[in-house]
Amino acid sequence: MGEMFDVIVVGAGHAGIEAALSAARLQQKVLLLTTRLDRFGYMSCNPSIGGLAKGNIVREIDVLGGMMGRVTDKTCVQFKRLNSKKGPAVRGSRAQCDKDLYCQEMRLVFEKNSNVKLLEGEAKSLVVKAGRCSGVVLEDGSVIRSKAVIITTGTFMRGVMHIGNQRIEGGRVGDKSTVGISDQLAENGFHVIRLKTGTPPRLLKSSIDWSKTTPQYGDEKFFPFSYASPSQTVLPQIACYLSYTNEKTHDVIRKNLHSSPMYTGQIEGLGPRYCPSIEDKVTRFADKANHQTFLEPEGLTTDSIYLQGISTSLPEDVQYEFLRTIPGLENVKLIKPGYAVEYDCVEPTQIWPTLETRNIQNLYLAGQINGTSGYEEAAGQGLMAGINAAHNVMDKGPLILGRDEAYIGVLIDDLVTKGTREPYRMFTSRAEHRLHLREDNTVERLLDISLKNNLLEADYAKKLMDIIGRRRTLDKKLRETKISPTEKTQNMLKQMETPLLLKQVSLAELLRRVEMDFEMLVKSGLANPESEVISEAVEVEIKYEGYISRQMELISLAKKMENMKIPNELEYEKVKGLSREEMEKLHRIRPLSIGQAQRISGVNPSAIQAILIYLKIHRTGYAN
Amino acid sequence: MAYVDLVEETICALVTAPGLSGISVVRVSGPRALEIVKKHCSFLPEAIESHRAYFGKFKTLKDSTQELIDECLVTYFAHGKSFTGDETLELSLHGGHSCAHRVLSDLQLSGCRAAERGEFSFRAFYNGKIDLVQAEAIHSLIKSRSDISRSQAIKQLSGRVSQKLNTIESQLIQVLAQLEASIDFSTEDIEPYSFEKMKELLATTLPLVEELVLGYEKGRILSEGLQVVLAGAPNSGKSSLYNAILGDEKAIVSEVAGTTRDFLETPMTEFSLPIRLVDTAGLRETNEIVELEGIKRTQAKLQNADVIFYLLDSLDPQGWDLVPLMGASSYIEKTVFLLTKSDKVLDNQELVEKARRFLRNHLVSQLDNQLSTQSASEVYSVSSLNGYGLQVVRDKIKSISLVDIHHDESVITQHRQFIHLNTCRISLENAMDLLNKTSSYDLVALEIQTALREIFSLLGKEFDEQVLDQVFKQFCIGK
Repeated sequence: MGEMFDVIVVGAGHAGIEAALSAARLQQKVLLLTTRLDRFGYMSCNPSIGGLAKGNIVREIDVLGGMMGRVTDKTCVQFKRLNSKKGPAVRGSRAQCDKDLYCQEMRLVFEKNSNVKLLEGEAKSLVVKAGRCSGVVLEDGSVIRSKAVIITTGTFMRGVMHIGNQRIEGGRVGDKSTVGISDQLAENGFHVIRLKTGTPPRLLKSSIDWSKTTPQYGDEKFFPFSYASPSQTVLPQIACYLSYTNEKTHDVIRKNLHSSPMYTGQIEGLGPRYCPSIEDKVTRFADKANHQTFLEPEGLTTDSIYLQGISTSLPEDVQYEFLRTIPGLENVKLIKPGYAVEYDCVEPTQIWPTLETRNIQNLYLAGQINGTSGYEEAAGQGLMAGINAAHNVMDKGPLILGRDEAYIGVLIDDLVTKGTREPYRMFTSRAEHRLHLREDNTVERLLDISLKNNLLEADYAKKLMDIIGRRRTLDKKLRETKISPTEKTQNMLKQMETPLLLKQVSLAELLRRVEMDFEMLVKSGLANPESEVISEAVEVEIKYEGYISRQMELISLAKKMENMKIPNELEYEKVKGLSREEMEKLHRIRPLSIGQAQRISGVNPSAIQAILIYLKIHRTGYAN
Repeated sequence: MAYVDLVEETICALVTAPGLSGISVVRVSGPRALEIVKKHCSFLPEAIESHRAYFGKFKTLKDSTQELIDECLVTYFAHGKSFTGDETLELSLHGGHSCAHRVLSDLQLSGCRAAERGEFSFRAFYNGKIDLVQAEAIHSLIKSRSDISRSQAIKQLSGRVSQKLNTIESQLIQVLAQLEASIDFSTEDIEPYSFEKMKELLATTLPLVEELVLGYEKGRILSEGLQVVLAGAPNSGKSSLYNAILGDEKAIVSEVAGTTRDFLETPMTEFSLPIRLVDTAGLRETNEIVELEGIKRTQAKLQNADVIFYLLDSLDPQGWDLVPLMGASSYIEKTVFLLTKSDKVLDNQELVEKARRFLRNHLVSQLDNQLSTQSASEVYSVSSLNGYGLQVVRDKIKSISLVDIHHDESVITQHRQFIHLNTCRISLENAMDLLNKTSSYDLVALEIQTALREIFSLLGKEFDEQVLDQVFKQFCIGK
């Protein structure tokens, strides 16, 4: 095969998909290499996409031209807006999807895309010469050349699954693991770390006594992730079912702890604290009498039920024993037992904020290989790796999202600046500018970036510009329309149980009252009806203006730090006044800006000052 | 953040050494320096000239009454013409540090940030006003002073302050963990605190912060010294006594001697606590305008004094008067009376008795019977010439300083610490308000986070994963 590609993407999980598509959208000739062509964007774990902070990421991906949001909308079987009453900045959309349909739909996206060539096969190693990557070597020894390679192999690098004392090589049930690349990375000086994650058992639908569980329905109202999607869900909506463990369950687990690979020392990898196994839960929270579990259908037609909350790596017979103590599961049958998986990943401070590795040029990493967890986190990185690889090939400057622009920016900055010790999951609390990184203003935050970098199809770009235009019009109207304390108005206000007017006010001022919302303005005839897509963002901006502007002030301060660039070639040993530890850290992480340098733990303010002085003296490429 | 957010911000600090001079100079530097100072010094003209000084009153904006703080001399340095290179104003204030402290607090409320140590010099370098050698020297100075002194300052926090700060820190982490758990793990089977419960917890945190904020004045005494004021009629022997008490440190006095109606302030190092000995102008009942001004200033000194030695001339019992002390009973309560020039008197004991009778008679108008008797018993004979009774004076100072130190250790001593705590207090008050009025977890979290960040900066800690750690420790969360 003598064909030459611009970009090769290894892996077709959530990261690989967005990487291939974003590079292709930038007119690159892309090869997507995967071991299974029938599993495009397979959800290896829970059947949901989105959630708190993660929902924001999906929306960001959408405005940046990615496909995750559209396919999620299309295959959604239950939708929820979480935290709808807890404040504007922390609302999060979550969709449960039909897993099989998700794969099919995603596959369709690729079939329509002529810039991406699909190939089933395994990359045994990378072609690396003089610190540059220029292709991959397949199992049969054949070489495919490219200008850049993006690796998105998830948990497949030296993946080992554990069920009781059984060890099975592979990154996911039914799929083999990849070995070669991990060793090759280690040979090239990468520090490879071992992480662990787990997944719950899958239950046979017909073996469950549903009468003993409580159905949980989704929201009536649907807020599609993509502005390209119809405003209503396409598929029928289904329920999940709630049940609880009890003391009997916990007794069985405690009695069998000795056979859990987590406790026998068989697993060395560090697992995420936010996703403990049921073994962990009963041990660490021994006084909790029960733990909730959701029985989530993995699709409309499948028999497989995902048991949310009960990830385990106990032996299969023990899993049967404790599961059958749970109401509704007395006669349960397993399609697949739960298991833990250990895998290699690259300590992520070894990559640049473009996701290109520091050791090997033209090589990009995205997704779980960088120590993250979650479909959305993977997709966000994939998208950025694809864009940056394409820019690299085209000789264009990098695209790095700021912490003040997107959760994706927070995610990548955290990874490359701080690294991670456990699988990294996004939380809203990780974003210092949370009040600004909302779901409702994704378009305002990112559209300019997308337009400038040609990330969107023309139609979609126009649609998003139109949304912004309509929001601006509404905003202006609410600020400019004044109401006076006439008898009619006062009566209306009395009915709305809000204080009467003392003087003329704008609708915006009225809207700022705690008890008011846009819908009330519409109902009382003060404002014209407008779709929620338009009104919500405007309402939030007006209602929380004081806080938001405070946040924006902090953002503009932070921006100045980010704009003070540190040249790549800076020799930290020449900077006077750095401690050995600071020098080592700065040398390793090579921050691109003063802002990033400040976020490296253990780098003191005086070190920052020393760098500033040094830069000022040498004036090398120092902006500002 | 230090030193870097700088170039855009307007910073202020006291630039005279605390306790060393009769005049305090506050420097304000940065792009908004003039704008901010003008808010307080309305006497500054529209067409202000560089390198010129203007005299007027500094007004506080804290309330509508525009209470006068002090008269001050403002020197203006235009952009490019100052030490730092940025627009700069220097405010010369009368001695007292509580005055400088209030001016600084006011400036900060109006938009200045407290300068970090060495920050003026750093800006000077940054703006090309000093060269590389100077810059590196300054940097090494800053490095040794700033990082180390910060950690020292933290170490020096008394046990009780640390204890309070730790309580505040852990309570704020606790509340924030509850908020973040409610936000990020709302689908989990957990029961974070209700708003009511959070309010209850914060209601115990806020007073701790307030106590520390209020205790700052007390802390200032510990760091800047005990104010020992000598007062009395003209020629009652204040200056001689001043020099006698100072002993070896007399040299310092002679340098500043010659001041007529101003104050002499000298730090004394022989006690464990810094002592600032303050000599006041002589006082008498007068209608003369200049003298009246002097009385007013002396009264301000008496107010700030930790102990007053009030001098009565043994040779002139007819001239004894207590006019300045009659301003407030609190003055009398901290006063020790000294009969000076005892070397010229034959029977000191008799004179002491005479003084006691005099004092009882005069003080009873201000104090009740018991207190006036008690105050009147604090009379000692001293001689600056032969040193008689000076040990009594020294012991008195020592005993008061000891009482003050051990009386209350739970105070902060640095202005920087005060600023952090005060910002923390404001954020907590906002949080309480939001908890009462809204259901916005995100806004409450923002305020608590601000408050916690202030405590972390005070303690020299980085804001990292402490809150998430707490969430995972406390709540059972998992898919």
